[in-house]
Amino acid sequence: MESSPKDGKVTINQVSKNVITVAIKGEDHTLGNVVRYLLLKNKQVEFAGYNIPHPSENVLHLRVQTKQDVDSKQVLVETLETLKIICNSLEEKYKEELARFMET
Amino acid sequence: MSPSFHNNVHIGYHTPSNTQGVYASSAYHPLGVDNSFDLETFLNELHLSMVKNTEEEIILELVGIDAPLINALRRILIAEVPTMAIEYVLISDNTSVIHDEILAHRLGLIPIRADPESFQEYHKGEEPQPDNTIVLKLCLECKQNPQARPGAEPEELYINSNVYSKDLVWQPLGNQLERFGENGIRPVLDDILIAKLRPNQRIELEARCIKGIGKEHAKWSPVATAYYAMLPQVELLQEIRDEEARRLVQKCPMKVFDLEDIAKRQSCADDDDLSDNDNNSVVIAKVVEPCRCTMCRECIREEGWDKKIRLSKVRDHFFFSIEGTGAIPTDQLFPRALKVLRDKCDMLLSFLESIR
Repeated sequence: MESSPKDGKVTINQVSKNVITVAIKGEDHTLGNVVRYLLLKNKQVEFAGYNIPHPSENVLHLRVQTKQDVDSKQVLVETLETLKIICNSLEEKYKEELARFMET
Repeated sequence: MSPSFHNNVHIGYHTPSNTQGVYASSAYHPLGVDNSFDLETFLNELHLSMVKNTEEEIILELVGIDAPLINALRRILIAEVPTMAIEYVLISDNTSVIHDEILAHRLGLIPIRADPESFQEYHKGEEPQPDNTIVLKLCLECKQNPQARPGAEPEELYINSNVYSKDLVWQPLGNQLERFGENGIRPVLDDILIAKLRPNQRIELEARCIKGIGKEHAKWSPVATAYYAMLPQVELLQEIRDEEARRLVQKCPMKVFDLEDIAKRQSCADDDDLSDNDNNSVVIAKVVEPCRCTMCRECIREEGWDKKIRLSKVRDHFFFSIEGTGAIPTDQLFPRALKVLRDKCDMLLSFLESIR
C-alpha cells in the first residue's frame, strides 16, 4: 500500500502491519536521528533506521519494523507524541530556570 | 538506563574508546538490564540549569539527556529557526569602490532586530506587504569637510566617509509603525562598517528584509555558534603525592589539579616525635576543576601515567552553549528551537493521521 497525501511532502509505504517506510521531503538528520533514537528505545520496535538516499535530494527515508502484531504506524505516532512531550517539558524547565536566573 | 560501564566516553592514551552511544532497547538484555525508554523516569531525571545568561551567550547545563536529542536542537538552532534578513537590494546609485553585488552581500549579513513571528513568509514574485517585508533605506553621499585640518584622518577630512549599519533607516510599511513602534526595527549593532566613501561618491539603495532560515543562507541563522560539550571527568586512580603531585599540577595547562596538604597520621607521634619533627605534612594532588579539562591528555602523556589518571566524558551530561547574533534575543532561542522541533512532529503526525 502506497499513499501520499495531497501536497506530496510525505509518502508512506506500509508493506505490512508491522513494517512502514516514510519518505519525508525537506527533512534531514535533524529529525531522522532523534526519531530513530526514540524508536530504538521502544521495546516493541524490532528495527528502526533512517537514510538519506541521495545527498542532493532533500528526502529522508525512515523505516520502522515492529514485533509481530504490533502496528508500526501506531508506534511511530506514539514516538512522535513522546518527542513532543519531551520538548514541552524542556521548555517548561527552561522557563522556570530562566525566571529563577533573572531573580538572582 | 544503560549499565554504568557504558556511561562514559573514555579518553585513552592512544585513542578514545566507547564513543558510540548504545540506544537499542534490547542491547543489554543478556545482562538483565533494560535499556528501553521510559518517559516518566526520563522526565524525572532530566535536569536543566542555566550557567550563564548574557545578551550574547547562554550556557545551559543539561543532565539526563542523550546526544541525538540535544543534537537535533543544535542543528535546528543553526539552520532552522527563522529570522529576518536583507534579501533584496534595489540599488539606484552606487559610485563607491564596492561593487553592487558585494555591497548587497554585506548588507545581507547584517543582523536585523525584528521578531520573525510577526511576519509571514515572502514568496518570490509577490508584492512586498507590511506583513512579510521590512524596508530599509540607505542614502549617503560623501563630502569634503571644510573645517578639517589638513593632513587629518579621512574620518575628519570627509563627511560620511564611513557607511555604518546605523545609516540604514527603517521605512515602515502600512501599519508597521503602530505594530512595532518607533525604532522597533533596526540593525542589532550600529557600528558595522558597510562601505567606505570618498568625496562625491554616493550610495542610494532600498533593502528589503524577508523571513528565512539558516538552511537557505547563513545570514538567516539566529546564532553565531551553538554547540555542546560533554562533562569532562578526571579521576585519580591512585594517590599522587609530594614531588609527583607538584609535577602534575605544573604540567596541566588548564589548572585542573591542585595540591592539598594533609597532616601525616599522628598515631605514632609519641614514639618517634623527634624524627618526624619537620616533616609532618604531605601534599597530594586533587582534582579541583574538572570542568576546565579540555582532554589535551598532557597529564597522561608520560609513560605509566594513564594508569594513574583516568580521563573520560559523561555521556548524558552536557553544557550547551548558544551564542546569538542578536537578531532574536538569546534567551528566546532555546524555546524557539523546541517549537520548530515540535512543529516537525506535528507535520508528520498530521500526515500519519490523515491516511488512517
